[in-house]
Amino acid sequence: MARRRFLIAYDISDPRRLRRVIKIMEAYGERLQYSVFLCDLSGRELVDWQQEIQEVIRPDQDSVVRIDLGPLGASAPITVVGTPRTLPSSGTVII
Amino acid sequence: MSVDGPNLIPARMLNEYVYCPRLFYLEWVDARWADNDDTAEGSYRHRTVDKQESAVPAPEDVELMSRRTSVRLTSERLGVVAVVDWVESDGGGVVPVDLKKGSPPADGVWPADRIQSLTQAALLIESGHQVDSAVVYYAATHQRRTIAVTQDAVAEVEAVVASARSAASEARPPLPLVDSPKCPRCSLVGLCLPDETNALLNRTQATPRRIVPRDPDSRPLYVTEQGAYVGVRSGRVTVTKGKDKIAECRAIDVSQLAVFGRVQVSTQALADLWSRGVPVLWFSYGGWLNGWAQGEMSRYVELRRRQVITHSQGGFDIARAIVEGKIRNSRTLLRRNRRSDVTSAVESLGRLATQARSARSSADLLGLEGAAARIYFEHFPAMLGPARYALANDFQVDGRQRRPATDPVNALLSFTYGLLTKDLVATCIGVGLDPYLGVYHRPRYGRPALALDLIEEFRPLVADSVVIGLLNNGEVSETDFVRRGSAVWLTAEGRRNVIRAYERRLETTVRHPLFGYQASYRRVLDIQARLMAAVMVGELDTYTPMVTR
Repeated sequence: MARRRFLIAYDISDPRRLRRVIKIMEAYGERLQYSVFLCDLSGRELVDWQQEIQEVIRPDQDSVVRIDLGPLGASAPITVVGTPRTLPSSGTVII
Repeated sequence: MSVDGPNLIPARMLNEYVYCPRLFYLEWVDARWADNDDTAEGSYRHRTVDKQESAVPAPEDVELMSRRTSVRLTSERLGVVAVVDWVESDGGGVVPVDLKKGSPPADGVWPADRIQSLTQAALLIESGHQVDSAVVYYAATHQRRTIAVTQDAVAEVEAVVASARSAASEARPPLPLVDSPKCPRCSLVGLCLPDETNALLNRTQATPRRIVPRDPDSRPLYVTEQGAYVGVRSGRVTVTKGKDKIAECRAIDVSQLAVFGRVQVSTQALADLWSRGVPVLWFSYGGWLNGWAQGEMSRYVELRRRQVITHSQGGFDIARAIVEGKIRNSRTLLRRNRRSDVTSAVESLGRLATQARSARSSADLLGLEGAAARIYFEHFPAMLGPARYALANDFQVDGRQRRPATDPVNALLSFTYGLLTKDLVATCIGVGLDPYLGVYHRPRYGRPALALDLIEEFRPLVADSVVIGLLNNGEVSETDFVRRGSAVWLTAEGRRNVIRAYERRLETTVRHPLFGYQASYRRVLDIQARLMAAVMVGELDTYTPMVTR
C-alpha cells in the first residue's frame, strides 16, 4: 500500500509507558501537538507501528486513536493557526 | 537418499511449494526473503498464536491437547516439521486449526493450504492421535473451512514432500509461473522477476505486466555540509553542526546515506542504518567514492558463488553486451541532443557498437570502447547550447580528463559518474552481488569492478544526460566551480545542484525497451542488476543491457 497520512492521538496514563510511546511516535512521525502526531506510513510501516504500540500500551488504561487522512499527495488539507508546525515530508534529502 | 540441507521441511514451505515451486526454492534453498504488506500483516495476525511453542501432549491427554496454541510437531520419517496454530478436541480425536490471513476460495480451501493442513494432520496421526478432519480459519472473512482427513492423507503428503525435495536438489530454481495472477501479490516478485524472466526466455507472447514492486518509500540522504555530524536518536536521523540541528528525518525514510568529506557518522547511526539494510557510503570532498559499509552480507550465497565463477572464467559475453549497450546509448544521446551535425560520429559509433558485439578478446573490446569514447567526447560539445560554450570551452580543447578534472564539464562528469557508481554499489549490495567481482573491468586499485560494469550502459542515459541538462538549463554557472591550480572543483552549492538534478533524473520514468513497461531510472538500475544476477546463476543465457531508442 502506498503511504497514507495518519493523525494519531494518544492518552497514556502511566509516565513510563508514555515515554516509550513518545519514542515510538518520534520514529514514525512528526509531533503536531502535545499528544498528537502526523505520520506518513505504508502498509508495512503501519503494521510495524501497530506492533510496537501494542507491546507498550495497556488497553484497559491507555488509548491510541488513529485517523486515516488519505493517500499522500491527496490527503486532507491541513491548516495551522499559530506557531508553525513541521509536517511530514519525504523524498531525497540533500544537506 | 542423500538429503542435502536441513532434514525437516516446514509445512509452510510445502504450502509455498504447492503455491509456486519457484517461491519455495527461493525461500527454502536460497534463503531469500522480502517483506511486503501482506507478509507483515500475516506475522501480525499470528502474534497471539506464536507466543510460546508448547510440546505435544500424549494421545491420552486429548483434553489437555485441545485449545493448545502453537504446537510444534516433527517427524523424521516424513521429513517435515509443522507449527500448528491451534488444536481442538473432537470426540476422542483432535482437529488441527490453521490460521490464514486471507479469504477462502468459493469452495473448500486453497490447494496450498490443503497440503499444509494435511501435513499437520499427518504429524498428529504419527504421534498417535486420532485425526479425522482439519480446519482452516480464514481471518479476512471469519470463515472456517473443514478438510476431511482420510487414509490417503499421509500418502498425499509424502508425495508432495518427495516432489519438493527433488526440486530443492536442483542446481537452479524452477522457472516462474507464466502470466499468473499470483505474481502481483507475491512478496518475492522483485527478486523473482517472473514476467521479465519469462519474456527473456520466450515462454510467453504476452507483454510483461508492470509487476515490479512499488518503488520503496525511502530515499537517499546526502550530507555534504563540512563539519556535520550524523547521529540517530529515537528512530530519527539527525544531522547537526556544532550545536545546531541542520536536518532531521525518520530513519525509515533513509534508503542510503552518502557523506562527502569532513562529515562524521556516529556508531549508533551506523548500527541503526545497518539493521535496516541501509548502506552508508563515504565520498571525498571532491566526490570520489572512498568506501562503504553495510550490515550483514546478503544470504544469497549461491549468487556470490556463481559470481566468483563468472568473474574468474571471464564473463566475456556479458562484457561484450555491456560495451555494445554503452556505445549504442552514447550514439542515441548524441543523435537526440545534437545542436549541430554529428552524422559521421553517429555512423562511426553505430559501427563500433556492432563490432563490440563480436569482439574477439578483452583487448579488442577495450580498444573499441576507447575509440567510441574518443569520438563521443570529441562531439560532446555538440550537445551543448551556445550559451554554455563558455563553460565548455576547455572541454572542447582537452577532451575527457580525470583526476583531476581540468575544466567544469569534466568536473561535472566525474562527479556524476561517482554518484552513479555509488548507486550501483548500493544496488549490488541490495541484490546480493559483490561490487568488486566484475566481468569487464578488472579489479585494480580497489575499484568496485562490477558496479563499474553495471554503470556503463547508464553513463550516457543518466549521468551525461544530467550534465547536459545542468549546462543547457543554466542550473550551473561559473559560481558553482572553483579553480585550484590546474584543477577545477565543484563548490559546495555546485555539488548540491548536481545531486538535485541527478536525483530528479533517477525519479524520471522511462519505458523499458525489453519489457514495455514504465519504470523510474532508479528502478531500472535495480532490474538490470537483477538480470545480471540471473545470468550469473544461469537462469538467463545472455545479459541484455538497457538500450533506448
